[in-house]
Amino acid sequence: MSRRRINDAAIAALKRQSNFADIWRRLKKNKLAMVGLVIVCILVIACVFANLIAPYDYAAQDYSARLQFPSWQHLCGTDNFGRDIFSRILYGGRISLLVSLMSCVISLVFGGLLGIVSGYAGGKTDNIIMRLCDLLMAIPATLLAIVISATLGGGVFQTAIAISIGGIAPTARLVRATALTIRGQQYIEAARAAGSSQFHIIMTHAVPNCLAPIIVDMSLRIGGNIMMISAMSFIGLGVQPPTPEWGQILNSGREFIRNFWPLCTFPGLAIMLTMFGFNVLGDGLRDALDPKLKQ
Amino acid sequence: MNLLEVKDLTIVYDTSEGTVHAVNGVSFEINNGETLGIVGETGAGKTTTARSLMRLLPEPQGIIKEGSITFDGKDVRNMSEKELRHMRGFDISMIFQDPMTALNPLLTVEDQIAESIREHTKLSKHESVIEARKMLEKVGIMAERGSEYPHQFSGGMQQRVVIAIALTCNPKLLIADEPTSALDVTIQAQVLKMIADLQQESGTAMILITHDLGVVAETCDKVAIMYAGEIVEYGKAEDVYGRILHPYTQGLFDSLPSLDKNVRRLKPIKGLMPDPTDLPKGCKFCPRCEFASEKCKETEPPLKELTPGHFVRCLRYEKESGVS
Repeated sequence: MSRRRINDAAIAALKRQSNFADIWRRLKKNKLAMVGLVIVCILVIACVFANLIAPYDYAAQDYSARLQFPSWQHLCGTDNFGRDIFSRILYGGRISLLVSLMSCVISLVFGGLLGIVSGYAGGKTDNIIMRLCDLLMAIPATLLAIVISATLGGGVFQTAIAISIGGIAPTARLVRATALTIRGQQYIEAARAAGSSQFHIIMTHAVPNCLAPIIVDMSLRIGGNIMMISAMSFIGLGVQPPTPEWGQILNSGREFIRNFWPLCTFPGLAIMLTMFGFNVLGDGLRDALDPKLKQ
Repeated sequence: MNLLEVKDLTIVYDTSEGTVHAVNGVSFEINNGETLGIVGETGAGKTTTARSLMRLLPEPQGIIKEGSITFDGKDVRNMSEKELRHMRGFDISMIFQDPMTALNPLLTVEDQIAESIREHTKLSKHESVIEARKMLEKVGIMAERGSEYPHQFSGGMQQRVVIAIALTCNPKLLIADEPTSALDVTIQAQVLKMIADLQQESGTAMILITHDLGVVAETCDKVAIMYAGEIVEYGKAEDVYGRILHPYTQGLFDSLPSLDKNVRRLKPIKGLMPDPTDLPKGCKFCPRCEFASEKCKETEPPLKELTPGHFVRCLRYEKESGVS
């Protein structure tokens, strides 16, 4: 039984797929996820190269062409100051996407770290971290963001921080819950019995197995964050006009919604597309990360 | 010198419901290449004993209260975390009961074996994967299947992978914690034979935890019968099987179906294992023992060496002259 069937050279020659390539292969099979990926890519590229794509300056006002409906000149029409909505959406996407993604990452890094330490260490550490999270969660996220934003002042980075703080506690909760179920798994113990260090176990066994719910939560959070940014702009905190931002454009269209639909519709569509793209991509990514679900 | 020497090992679990006396004064030793079978009911403290050898008790509840564990001349109880990590997987490794959960579902099989290699050697990622594939071939799995995930394997093959992980660094001691309990009977024999073959090939000593006396008879040099955290009978396999001393061991044998005797009904041991938070004062087995006398309830029987190398913990042999 212990006699080997093939020689060393043949063994060495066997193809080996890296984890990453494996995940990508599985993701490629999922059409919906690829649609999501394309949407996200187009949005990101469009926003990054807004200065090349946008036909007008986002702040250029033209009072002779106010509240124009979509035409070839103005693809999405103009707003009440005669500014081109399409250009404003492109430039606005820079802020919306950047701030939203940034705050997601901040929430994820800090929340994830706290959660995994809490869930994995257990005992006193867990208790302290979770009570701190309770403290954070006792304050409504919007209120928290307003307070922090008011303290830090406007600006992209400040807004991202303000929004992310509210996301840390829920993320930590989520990660902790997942980590708790993972901790009881025998492969964690098996890794300990094989002499792996705590850090190594967390990075190679605990984190990847916690990923699925986190990815889904993050893809939802991106949309939520965009709404939060607009809420902040609405009360005059966060990003300051004339810098455009999706939620802000959407808000400015409120007054005209009865007789001028483009001002609300196009930024809304942009937000919707972003959310759709990220959600679908997130879903696909989660499936791709789970080898059991393939094929 | 023995490879492993355990003396008067006492382990308790400190829980909110009280102190669980899981292991009470267990002693045994193993030489290089030897196989010790630890047999007993569920909850007898077999697994706790085995885990304590690698200091893998659940923390902070599991505490080694007394006794010493000496592995290869080193005191395991006083090892630092770094020394422990070096020992785990390299000197002592463990095969787990349930292969389905002992493998990480997200890593390919060869990666999981390679990981254990890389933890203890300086091989590169690529080299370790090649080693892992060779190991897979050794346990009878095609190297081509190394890039598959655990869920693509059957239970028996998963257990082979677990065995491959355990044996890949040529440990001096292998602890197999009921390695075949989760497998169906047809595969059990196969897997056990494979473990035994590989063990002989590499000269690894083994502790085999099981409740199957038949398995022990086939594979083990020594047997320790555990009951309620104590070793009640301990000796060379042929001695114990040749002359069963303890009533509990007898009970275990009686509850086995036999091929050569025509028995209509098996004879199970009556009653249940005592509550480990509240163990009886005298002999732990006395409430279930058919030979129990009043004295058994009061005095705790010592482990007595009746014939050289054959120990028993029972008052019935008190008067017999043993080896002193």
